[in-house]
Amino acid sequence: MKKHLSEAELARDGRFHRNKIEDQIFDPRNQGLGTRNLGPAQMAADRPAATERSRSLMHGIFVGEIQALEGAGRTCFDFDNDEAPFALKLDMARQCWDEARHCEISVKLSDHMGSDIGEYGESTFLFAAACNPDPVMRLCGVNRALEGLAIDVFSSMKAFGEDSGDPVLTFCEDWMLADEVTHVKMGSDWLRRLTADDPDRMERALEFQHTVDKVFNLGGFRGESEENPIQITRRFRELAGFSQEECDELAQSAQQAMEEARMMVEMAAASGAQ
Amino acid sequence: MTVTVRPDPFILVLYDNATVRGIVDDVAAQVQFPAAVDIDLTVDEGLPHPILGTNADIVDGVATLWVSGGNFESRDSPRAFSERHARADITHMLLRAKDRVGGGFEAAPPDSELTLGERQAWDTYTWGRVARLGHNVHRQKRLYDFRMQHGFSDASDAAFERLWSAESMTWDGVREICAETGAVNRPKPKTAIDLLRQGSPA
Repeated sequence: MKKHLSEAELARDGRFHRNKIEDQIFDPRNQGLGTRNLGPAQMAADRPAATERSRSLMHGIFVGEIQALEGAGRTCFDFDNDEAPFALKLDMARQCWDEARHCEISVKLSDHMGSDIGEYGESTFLFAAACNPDPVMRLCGVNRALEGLAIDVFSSMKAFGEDSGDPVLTFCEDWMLADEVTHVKMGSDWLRRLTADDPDRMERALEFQHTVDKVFNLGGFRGESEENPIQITRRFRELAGFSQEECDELAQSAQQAMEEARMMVEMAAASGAQ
Repeated sequence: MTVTVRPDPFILVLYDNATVRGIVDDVAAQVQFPAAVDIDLTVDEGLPHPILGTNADIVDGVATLWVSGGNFESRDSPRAFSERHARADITHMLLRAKDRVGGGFEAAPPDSELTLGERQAWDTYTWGRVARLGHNVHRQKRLYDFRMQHGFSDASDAAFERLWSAESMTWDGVREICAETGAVNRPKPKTAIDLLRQGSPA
């Protein structure tokens, strides 16, 4: 069986539709959207289009869970025991079990919220973090960056469930959040163990994680202000082995991503006005 | 009856003005929209899915409709037109406009002054009718939308059933249901209910 699959090789049935990243980047509506008041950024029951926005995000979570399952599964298979210890693969196998359960929960939540599998497009940039051929880098990309994003997303979705009085959403997100904290903790622990005698490798891995985190900030999607739909969750990140400094660094990088996105909108608006 | 669809032409999305106008004509005939009332539909092409929204008011005797471009957008192909979604949403808007002309909602305030609960209850009554006209309406989606404003409770679900299956309803009926579910006691939203339309460049 082939090792090290690329994003393009992920298998999906006919219900799924893949988003093209270029369609999103070059969408001519982006420029105007950046300057319009669309209501509060954070999810709430009284936010304009609250339900459809949450359904769309829920579908994004669902396909993200599939990709996390694929990423952890590939780590079990792609490396021999010299590259990645058996105990690490055992942890990844346990994570696969969790991710498979999350996929099922996400499908049921989508049913509850009134959407269907494949109703919205799928972006595969999350799986891209799981394509690194170095197991330590991959751990940082998947378990610390991707699963770290999952902590932030689930925590925000749980808050939305509480705000809207939806007990099903609140309960499910809380349970999945607990699993994600464990996954990030596994990444933090294995990163330290595998690089205990190789500080350079650890530095390179953390650098890779910061690069992935920058991508996952999604130009202001994640952050710590009211302008960010998804909030960085320091408390759970600390439980998962992130230091205070790492949380500060992530918050700073998210803030920078938002400012860069804002500048791009301003520049595009200025060039449009000329 | 004259039908006006804006913008003409569409620039940001791959929609065709004549196609949209044709659907409005079809639907107006299907729902027996009053012939004496002109229709003015603005599609806000700057808004993508999932930023959805519709408004249906009667202004100076004209059915003045506004819809987010995202409502007509194909869910799996950005900027592409989805006739299925457009037909369902145009039917929804025309039924609500017809309600305002002589369907028991003559006394209802304009959309900008409705509460989220009132709007959701009226929408549910309307989506039930749209479904019975043969459109593919996702019932669970509409139930979740209703619960969001009326609560996740048995009382709320029972109210949804009554609205969904009602053959006729009045503005007072909608307000009674809002009192029953407690939606009437919910805090005022932080933003205007028609915030998206207010920001519309059209």
